[in-house]
Amino acid sequence: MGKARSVATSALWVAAAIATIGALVNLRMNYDSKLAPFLVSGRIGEAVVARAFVVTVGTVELAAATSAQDDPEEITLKSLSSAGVWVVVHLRLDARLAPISLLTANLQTSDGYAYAAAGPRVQGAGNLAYSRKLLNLKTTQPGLANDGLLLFEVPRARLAGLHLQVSQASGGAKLDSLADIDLGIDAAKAVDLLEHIAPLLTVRGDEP
Amino acid sequence: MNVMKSLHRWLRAQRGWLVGGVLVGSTVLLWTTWDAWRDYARWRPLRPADVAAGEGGMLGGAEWRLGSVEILDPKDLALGRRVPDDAVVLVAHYAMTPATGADQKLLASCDGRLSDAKGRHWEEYPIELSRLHLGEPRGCVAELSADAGIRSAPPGAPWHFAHAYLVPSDVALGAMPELILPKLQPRYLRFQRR
Repeated sequence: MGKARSVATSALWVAAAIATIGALVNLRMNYDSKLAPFLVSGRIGEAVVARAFVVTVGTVELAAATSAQDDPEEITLKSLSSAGVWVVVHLRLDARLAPISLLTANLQTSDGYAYAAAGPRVQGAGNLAYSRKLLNLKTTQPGLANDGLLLFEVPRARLAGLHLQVSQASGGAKLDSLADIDLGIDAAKAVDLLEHIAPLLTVRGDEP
Repeated sequence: MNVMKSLHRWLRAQRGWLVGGVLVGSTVLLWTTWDAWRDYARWRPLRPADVAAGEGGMLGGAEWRLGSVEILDPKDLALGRRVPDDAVVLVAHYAMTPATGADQKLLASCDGRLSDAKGRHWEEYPIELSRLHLGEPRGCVAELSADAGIRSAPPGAPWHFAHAYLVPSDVALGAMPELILPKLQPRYLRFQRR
């Protein structure tokens, strides 16, 4: 009887040890959460302070097509249309420590899709206006805030609940701060924005 | 009170183990992260070598000397661009004299930077200054132009070049020009101004 009891006790201890080890292994952070960005949340109109920059989203508008003109004397570029709609986010960016560009700039939909800001494609359209105004292409230096914009192509059906996520770090802002800004678009606002869609938005390099 | 007393006694008795534990712990920590620290420092300018005003500093087998520093009003420069209202253009003039056999490619990789007392820094020739013409080369070793080809200083003679920065006006007076050779980081030159 005594022997059986001691075997049972040992088995219980072994089971407890295995359960503890299992729990510890499960509790251990996975690679993604170890490197996850530090989220700094804000809303439209608020100055959102991240580690390396301060960003304030001003207005959001929609356009069916975009174009660019660097100087009033120069020709306007052929416009770029979209299968969805161009979401134009006007924002102000100030660098806190060093020159930065918004290497990560995404619109996050409420159902988990991410749309990256237009960069190389519009830059390939070959106009300096884009590199002067698009804050994911332009460098912003400390103390010299830049008023500019970000362009996104988004399906018309995914406008409600959009969040802007920006960071100076590339590749999803691992271990750096990621500003997450609610653009304040509910279903009614989305309908209203679509009703007032601009046929063409021209990015002007000479505008302040 | 008794608890404090016995804790004290225990700490005294275990003093050797505790100190040893801290030593071993910090050695292990340093040992295991040493490579990561070295890699981190290799790509960042972390160790400034201060160069007194009017003197030259050695970096990469060349002597670098800061000449005059000018502060210019963007309105006088025909930049063809709107720049922020309170911004000024700061121009740092340099002379670089390479020693015989200095690695020209290394010297040509030089980057300019301007830093302030708060640890902020600014890049040379931002896009707002793309139309700025100083009449002085931008390159640290040579200049490539369409009409004259590659131009550089004769052996032993100093090469004069300039770096221009766009900075907030309140920063311009106290900011320090810096020169970095990326391969020789973490060391870099930081020039005191007159």
